[in-house]
Amino acid sequence: MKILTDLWAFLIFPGFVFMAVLGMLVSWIDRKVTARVQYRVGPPLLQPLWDLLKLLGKETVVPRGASRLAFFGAPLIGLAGAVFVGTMVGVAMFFGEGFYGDLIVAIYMLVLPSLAIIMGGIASKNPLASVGASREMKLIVGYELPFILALLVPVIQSGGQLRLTGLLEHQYANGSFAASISGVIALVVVILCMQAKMGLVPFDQAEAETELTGGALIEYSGPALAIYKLTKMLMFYAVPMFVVAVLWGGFGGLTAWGIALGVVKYLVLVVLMTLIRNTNPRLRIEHAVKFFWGVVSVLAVCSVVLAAIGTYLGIEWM
Amino acid sequence: MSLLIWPIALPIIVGALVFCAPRGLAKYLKWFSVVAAATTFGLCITCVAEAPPSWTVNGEVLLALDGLGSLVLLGVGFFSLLMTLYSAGFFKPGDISESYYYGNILLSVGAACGVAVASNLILLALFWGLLGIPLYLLINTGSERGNTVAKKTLLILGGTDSVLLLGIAAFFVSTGSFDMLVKSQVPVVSVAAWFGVICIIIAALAKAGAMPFHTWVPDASETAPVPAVAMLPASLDKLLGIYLLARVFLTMYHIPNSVKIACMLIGAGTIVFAVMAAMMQHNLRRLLGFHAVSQVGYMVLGIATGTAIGVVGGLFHMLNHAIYKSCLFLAAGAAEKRTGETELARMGGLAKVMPLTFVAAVVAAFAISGIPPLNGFASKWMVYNGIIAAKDMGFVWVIVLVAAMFGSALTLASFVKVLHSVFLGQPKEPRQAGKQPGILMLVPMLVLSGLCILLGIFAVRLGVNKIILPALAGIEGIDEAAFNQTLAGSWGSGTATILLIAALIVGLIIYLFSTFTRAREDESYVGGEVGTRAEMYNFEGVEFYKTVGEMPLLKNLYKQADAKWYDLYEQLRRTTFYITGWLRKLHDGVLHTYVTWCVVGLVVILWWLLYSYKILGRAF
Repeated sequence: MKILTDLWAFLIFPGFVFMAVLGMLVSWIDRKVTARVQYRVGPPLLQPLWDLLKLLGKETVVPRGASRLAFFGAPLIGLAGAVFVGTMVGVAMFFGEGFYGDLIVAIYMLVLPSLAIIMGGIASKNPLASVGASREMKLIVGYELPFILALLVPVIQSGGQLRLTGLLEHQYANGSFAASISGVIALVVVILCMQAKMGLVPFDQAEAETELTGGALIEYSGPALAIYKLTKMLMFYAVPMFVVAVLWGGFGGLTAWGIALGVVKYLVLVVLMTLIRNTNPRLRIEHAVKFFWGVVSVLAVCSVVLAAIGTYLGIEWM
Repeated sequence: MSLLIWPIALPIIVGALVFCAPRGLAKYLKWFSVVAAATTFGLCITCVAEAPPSWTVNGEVLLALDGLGSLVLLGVGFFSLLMTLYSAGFFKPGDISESYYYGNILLSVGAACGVAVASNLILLALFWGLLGIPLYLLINTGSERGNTVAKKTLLILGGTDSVLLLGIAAFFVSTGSFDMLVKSQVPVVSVAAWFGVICIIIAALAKAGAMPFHTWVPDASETAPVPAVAMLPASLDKLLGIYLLARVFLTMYHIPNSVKIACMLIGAGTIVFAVMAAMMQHNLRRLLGFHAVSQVGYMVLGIATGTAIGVVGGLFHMLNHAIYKSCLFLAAGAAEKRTGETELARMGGLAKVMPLTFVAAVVAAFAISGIPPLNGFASKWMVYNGIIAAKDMGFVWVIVLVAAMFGSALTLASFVKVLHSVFLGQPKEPRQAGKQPGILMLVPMLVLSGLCILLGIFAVRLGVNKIILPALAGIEGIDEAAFNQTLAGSWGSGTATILLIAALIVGLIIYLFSTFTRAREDESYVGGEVGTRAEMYNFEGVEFYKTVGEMPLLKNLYKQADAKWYDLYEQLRRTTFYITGWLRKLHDGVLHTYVTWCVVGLVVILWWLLYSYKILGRAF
């Protein structure tokens, strides 16, 4: 029966359906805020849903000579990965359940949506898509280093805790990790990495509408494209929620007040992402990689060192 | 006579027969070898199942089998059988000299089995060294490059073999015995013990191909025949090297934390530097060769943590690596056979014409990159947990953990490049749906990729509980209880797989209820260009990470690596030639020079004699 409850969690709450609804809502917020920044009115609330449904009805076109297995299989990998991460984070936050080492599983699963874009790109038999895919991969290589480093800060502060629930409990008992200097730095680093993970400006080199006309996704149409869009919406739920859970205190307890606080933190992150993407130009890919391996990694290393010193000497604010 | 002799003797005897086989029998030799390999595998299974008594001569235990040895013996038998099968399908008549190739293959099988069942260290060293000879002969295929590489391999492996002998001597000094299966757990305090530990670890690392003794692996991968590479450096040498390392860490010595930390750092360095090198390779085989180095890092790291879960993870990774890396080499061989190329720039688009090979390659590539729920992820995940559990060694765990996890992202990056340039991407010439690789080649690939999935989904239930933990039976602190205690409610790959499949079904439903079934084919859109103008735009695998390679610090690093600054063998060679260069100057063939040297030498000897007999001192 365990598997049935797992399936329920995975497909309905807090998994797929819940994530999809929230993701659509959030992508509406993203578009609305963008519109307001640009002095436009913006779309109605249900626009993301209509977009998806419309794509499902559009024709499917496959590039001639491309491997259909890879071309249509790729979007599914990303969908599976995004739902998995979202469910893990959701289950840890709502039900306080998880398993040993799920933090590592989450980090690996978070790569799957990007991998899906890459596989789709290289399966498209299109040079522009290949360029997009190579950029996406370089971006992953770039941000993954500071991302891992920053996520070690909570692990160090909690004394080697690798469970999401363990990290949450530690925060419920001792206050959020972001309340220390190392935690704040780590949070900043993770927000930057999150921007790249979501493929938002200034890190949207893989899609780069102006030069690659959609890059890795150039050949996609109809339902396959709809799955990519849906995955992105799910990631809009999963990634910020993951950051809130791991670094920023989660719900601060499972009370109504705590949940409201968690939602506010989550929305702050979403709006921040939207604002960053609306006020920055796109970086060139080598600049992006250099940025992540340079400044951001140095920041991340600083936070790890501070956390290590703080834990070793027992200084809480470090 | 113990049953244990047979898995060694049979392949060696048959190999010798194959060597001497007359030319007329050449076309039957492959079947003969397949049967011999299958029989050897059967003997390995019998040995493990029956647990025969050890083979003793004059009270000295020479051959014996315990858990760890059984694991390696089964692995050797299994991979040898698959690779011999593949070889039978891979080579066309006339490609190679059958008697030479299969003779060498069988000889390595026998030697590898010998290492696995040897209990006496001298015997182990004998088989260990014997294994180097067929490898040398297989790499040395006649070309000039093959000759150089074979010499390099022989020198590195032979050199470290002699280091192993020194280590064995030191072990004898500490314990008074050559039996390595006795749990001596020598405390590393005396000079002899330190010397022994360091020497044996060096030999194990060189065989497994860890840094800084790694340089023979990518070179050999590039030159030797593909099935031989898949068998020796990619699977058997890893199994044996890590086997010896595990013996040193678990039974022979009681390893102090400083050695553990040093090994962990070596492992972490191997992971990152080798994978950085792999990313930039343009030759498919060489790229895979560098990954064969990089992956050793995870095994060394896992075993060096000394924690239950780390050791289990390291050994599990050893097994998993042999599975997916040989699968990747076999897929590379199939691609090579089809296109006649090993350069990434000249392949591409093979997924359409070799779908089954493509599927096997994708599974193995995802497994090596640690994509859940495949086997590579399961063992890496255990190694990571082992690292965290080794917190008593200070904050070194942070460094090695970051290196290991980041290395995983880089591995993914270089396999994306491989999948793009070999199987997907834009083909350099239109590929006609032609001949598939034969059934003999497909079966090993599909079996191996199937194992990647199986050992991933049932990582704990099958991989750990049925394979790795029984192999570690009798070793203190590493049993099911210790493992389960660390892992209460652990990564349930089974559940995770069901959930991931559920997500795939959701995706499929979305496909089925849409226009997916009526998909239309059309030319790809290349910025509005059509026909031959569109074909001009081609994104080659060579370009994939060019921008990364041109970044300021890395650029220098790659340049130095190209100039072989980090190649220990090359550095030693250069130093030797530098010194002999000076000596050569002295050998100029002029009589005066020689006479001068003779006189100088005589004076020095005279002075030393006078001084040592206190004649000189008294005179002054």
